[in-house]
Amino acid sequence: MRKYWTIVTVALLAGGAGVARAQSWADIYQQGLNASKQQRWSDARAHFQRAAAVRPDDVSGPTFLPGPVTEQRTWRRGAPYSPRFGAAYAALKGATMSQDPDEADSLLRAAAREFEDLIDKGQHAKATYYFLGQAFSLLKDADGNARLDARFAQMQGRMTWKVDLEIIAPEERGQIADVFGDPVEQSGPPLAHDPSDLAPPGTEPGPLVADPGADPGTWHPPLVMQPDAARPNILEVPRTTVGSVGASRPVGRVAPVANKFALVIGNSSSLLEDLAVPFATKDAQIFRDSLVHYTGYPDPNVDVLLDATAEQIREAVQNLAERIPEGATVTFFFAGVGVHVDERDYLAGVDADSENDTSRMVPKMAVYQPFMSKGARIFAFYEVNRPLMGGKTFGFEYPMVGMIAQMQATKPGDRVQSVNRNGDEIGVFVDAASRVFAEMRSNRLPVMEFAWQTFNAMKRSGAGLHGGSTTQVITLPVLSNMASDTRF
Amino acid sequence: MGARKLISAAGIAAVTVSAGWAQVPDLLNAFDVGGRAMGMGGGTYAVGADTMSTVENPAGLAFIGSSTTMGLVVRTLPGTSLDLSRSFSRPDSSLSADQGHFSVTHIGYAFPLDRERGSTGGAVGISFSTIGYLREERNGDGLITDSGTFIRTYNLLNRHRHDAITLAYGRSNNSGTVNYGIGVMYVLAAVNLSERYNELIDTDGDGLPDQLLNRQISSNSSVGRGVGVVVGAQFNPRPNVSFGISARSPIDLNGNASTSQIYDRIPMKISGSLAFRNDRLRNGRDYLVFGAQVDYFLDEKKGQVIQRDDQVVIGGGMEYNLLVGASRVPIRVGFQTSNARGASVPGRGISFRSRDTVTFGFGYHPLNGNYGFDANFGSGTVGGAFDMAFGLTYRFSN
Repeated sequence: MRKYWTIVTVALLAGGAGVARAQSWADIYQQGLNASKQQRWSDARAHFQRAAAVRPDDVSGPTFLPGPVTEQRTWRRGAPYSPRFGAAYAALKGATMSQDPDEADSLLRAAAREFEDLIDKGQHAKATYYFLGQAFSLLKDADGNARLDARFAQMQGRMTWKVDLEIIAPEERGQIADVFGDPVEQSGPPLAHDPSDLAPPGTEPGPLVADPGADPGTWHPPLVMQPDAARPNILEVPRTTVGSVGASRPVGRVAPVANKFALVIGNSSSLLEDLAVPFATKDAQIFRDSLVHYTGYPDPNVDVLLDATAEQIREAVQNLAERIPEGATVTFFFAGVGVHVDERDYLAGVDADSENDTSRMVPKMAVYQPFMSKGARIFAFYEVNRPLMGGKTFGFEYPMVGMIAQMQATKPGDRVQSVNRNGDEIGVFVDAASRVFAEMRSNRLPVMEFAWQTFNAMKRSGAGLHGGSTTQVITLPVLSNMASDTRF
Repeated sequence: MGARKLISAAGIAAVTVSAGWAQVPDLLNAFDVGGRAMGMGGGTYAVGADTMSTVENPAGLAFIGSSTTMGLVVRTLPGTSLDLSRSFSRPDSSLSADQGHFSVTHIGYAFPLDRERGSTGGAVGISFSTIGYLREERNGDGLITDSGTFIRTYNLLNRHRHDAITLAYGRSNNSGTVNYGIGVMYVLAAVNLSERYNELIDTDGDGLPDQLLNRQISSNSSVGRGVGVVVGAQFNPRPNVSFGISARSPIDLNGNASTSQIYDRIPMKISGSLAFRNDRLRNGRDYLVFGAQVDYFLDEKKGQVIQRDDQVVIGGGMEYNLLVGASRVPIRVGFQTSNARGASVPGRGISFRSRDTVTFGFGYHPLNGNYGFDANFGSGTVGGAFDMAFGLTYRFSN
């Protein structure tokens, strides 16, 4: 794949060099824009680089074209000229789409370097900071993030450089706008109102969402994502509406929200070996870090249990329930053994030694009820193997009361899988979820949007750092008395 | 009989004019057709890009753009009037100006030859424009001649209107830094000079005229025709800076035997303009245009009535283009001065004096619309009402 990128880039640059003089920078740049819209990231990057070769510097303001001095004639209605930003952005997007880990790594590093070059030149644009933060997060470059954090703290409120937003996907424009808490706008006068300038409206997943108008007593079969037959590895992700993601800082830790709490449990050890999730403790730690760093959960509000017994789980639940205020947001993560017995779901403690003996297990509803009594909204995530027994499995119990969203890391009948990340075995679900947390960076994540993004990330198997495509498919959140865009 | 005869030639009716002291503001050459630049003291005609470029500087047609454009201007045609008293040869006079009536002074149509190539493909323009205008009237009663006769109900009317039908072409080089153009101008010069009065004597010595001695009625009018050429160039080193230069050939008039002694040639005109645009106002929402232009008129054949040296007209101004919603509202102010030096030869006709004009104007140009509207005004040094011009530009959607 890297060869493809190299060949395409060299071919376009070499071929382009011969016609660069004849072809204006505007034509080449437009080719880059077209390629961006079609998500042909290698072509887009090459075109933007060619445009920069002809007209080197990014320009924040309008480009004035020849015309009568008594009138302003601007290129593309006053849009900024951003070939270097476009090339870096294309590298970042190409990295996320790449199946070759080395190529993806190379592209990510190029993107990070080029975004940072733009900032070094004084081109302090919100979008540049946003995507550089993404690149550093994907590279797990703590030093880079720290550098960026420091620069952001210096420049906050003075990031006035504008980039060509037409390069960026509409949902990302919305995210940037929401992160920075202001409308995203092009520079230059509103020379004409063009409906194509508006972000397309967000779309709901439609039939894959539990019908909020339905009788809550009606049992709904679990919703399972089905890959698109034409594009088996990639699914269309509904676009995010502008303003749908909560406010946050683009770099560094996301601003914490005081009434958000979490209980994160990872039970790697289990006497039920067939159902054990050996990477559960690692996943719990990663999930906890994601909540604290990227999702606005205050550190003291997140409790973590590793290899806990049933009794310890009950105590932790009670302890947390006593601390939360009325109407709090509670996120519950459990990685370990879960079973479905007599129409009820149970979470097994590390001391459970039989699938049918629930004495050393905690009923799932027993986890919810103390929080429900405080009027909390509960967002529950389960990384649990789900073999079918008698046609049933863990996750088949749906609460009829309370405001609860429950999401499973895999579909009924399947097992959770793992990947190797820098020598650690971690779950595919948590691996994808942590990346989504890092990319979305919000303390007000819509739960269904998060789920879709996680599904997509799992299908791409992440940033290509390791591994290939996975067959693990999540189950979308089942919502009880909760809208699909409820935020956690 | 005591009254001087200005013109006395076979075939030309005699016209008696008491001149030398009769100075009127010169509009014959410096007549502003009433376009957008009028509100800026005429400072940007040679760098403009509209249908008036056919007459002012054909190079401007290159920047018409990819849309067919029409232009229309309606403006007042001002005049002056002199009230004469006491001596016929050296009268006291009182000069006043009047706004005059409205008339169409420009209709233009311009279209690109190759919409895809834009300015490098060139554009053609055709227009009807009024390039010169003068209206002067003199009235007097009870004037006494040097020989003691009395002039009653004296009236002289001197009226000129020069209209040009111009076909022009302009184009740009590939980078848009140089425009050039050429046009052919067919001029219709309407000239009318008429005079009438009654000359009486006092036969009974009571100091009152009681016997008609002479009744003078004379009129010369014709529409002379001529062809001229106008060429021009614009240099645009940057999108916000422009130099324009144009030249119009002298135009000899034909078919004007009865008025050739009055006016027989439209002078050569050389124009130079410099304009600059500041794009950084109100965070880029507004922009400001400064422009200055010099027009030099020369090689005019001096007639017996119209006597004038070479003339220089200097004008300049600025236009602030305010963004209001989705529209541009240009606001203009300018100043123009012309140093017409009259040939103040007694009995040799009308002479002209310098003319200083303060101009201003405004417009409305919707950004999403096909049209633009401009209103421009100019004060005269004589006093009286403002000159007014209203223009409309329309771009056809392609």
